[in-house]
Amino acid sequence: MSSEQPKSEVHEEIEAKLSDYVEGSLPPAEVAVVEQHLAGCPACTDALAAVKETVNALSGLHKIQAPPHFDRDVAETIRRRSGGRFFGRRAFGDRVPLEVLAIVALALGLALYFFLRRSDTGSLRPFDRGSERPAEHGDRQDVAPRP
Amino acid sequence: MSRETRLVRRLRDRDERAFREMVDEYSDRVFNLTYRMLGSREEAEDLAQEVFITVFKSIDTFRGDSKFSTWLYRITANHCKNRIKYLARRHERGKAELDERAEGGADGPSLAAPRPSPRPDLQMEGAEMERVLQEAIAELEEDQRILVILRDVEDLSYEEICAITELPEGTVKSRLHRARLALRKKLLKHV
Repeated sequence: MSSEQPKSEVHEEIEAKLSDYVEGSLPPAEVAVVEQHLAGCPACTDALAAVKETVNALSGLHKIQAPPHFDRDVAETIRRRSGGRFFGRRAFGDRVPLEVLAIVALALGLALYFFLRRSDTGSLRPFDRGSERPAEHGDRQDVAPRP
Repeated sequence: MSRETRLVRRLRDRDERAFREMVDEYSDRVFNLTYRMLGSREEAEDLAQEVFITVFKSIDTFRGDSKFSTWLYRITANHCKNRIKYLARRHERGKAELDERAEGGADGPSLAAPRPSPRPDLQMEGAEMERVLQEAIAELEEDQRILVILRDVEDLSYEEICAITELPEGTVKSRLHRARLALRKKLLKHV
C-alpha cells in the first residue's frame, strides 16, 4: 500500500480485505497492515463490525429440512411424468447412444463385406471365368459337350 | 471404487433405490439452499423436486471432474436463478395487470393482495431476526445472494463455491464482501 494513494483508495483496499480478515484467511503481513489502518480509521472499524455481525447472523440461521416424504414425492413425480418407464435397469441400447450403435453396425457390415469378398469361398466375389477355367490335361476332354 | 462413484453408476442404471439414497442424503442441503434463495417453502419444495429430477435425467452428463455434491449444488444454483427470474417476471406481469384494473375503476374484486398468513412451521422456526434476515437476503441481487448463502449459511469452502458458480476466487471474494455490506445495510433498514 503506497503512502501516496488517495485516502478513498486506501479505504477501499482495506475494506476489500475485511472479509478475509474476519475469516482469518489473510496472510500475516496483510493482517498487520489492516490492523494498523483499523487502529486509526473509525469508518473501516465500523465496516469491520458490520461484516462480523452479518457473518455471525447468517451463520446462526436455521438449517431448513426437506419436508417428510420428500424422496417419495420426487420419485412419484418422476414416475408420473415418465409414465412409469423411467426407473428400471436400462438395456444396452439405452446406455449407448444410437449414433454410436449405427457407426459400429456400419463398420461391422463393411468388415463382413470385405471379408466375404476376399474369401475364396465367399459368395460376394464376382465370378472370374478366367481363373475358374478347368485345367487342361493334354488333349483329353472330360467335360461333357454342350448340347 | 468410492461410494460416490458406485452411487453415480447405480443412478446411471436408473436404480430407484440409488435415487432414493441420493435424495435422502442431499435433500436437506438442496432444500435449505432453495428455501434461502427463494424465501418460500412451497417454491423451495417445488424447485428442489425439479433439481432432483434434473439430476436424475442428466446423470449421464456428470463426468466426475468435480464432487457429485458440487455438481448438484451447481444445478440447484442454476435452477434457483431461473426461478428467481421467472418469479420476477410473473410479479411484474401481475403488477401490471393490477395497475390496469385499478385504472379501470373499483368495481372489481378487492385488488389488495392479501398478506400471507403466518404459517405454524415458520412461526416455530422463527425468531424475528430469522425473518428479517430472510427478507434482507431476498432483496440482494441474485449473484450476491447465492454467494452469501453458499459461504455464510451453507459454510462451503471457496474452492467449492468457485466450482459451483464457475467464478474465479477473487471475484467470489469481492462479490461476497459487497454482498455482506449490502446485507448489513438492508438489515439496518429492516430492524
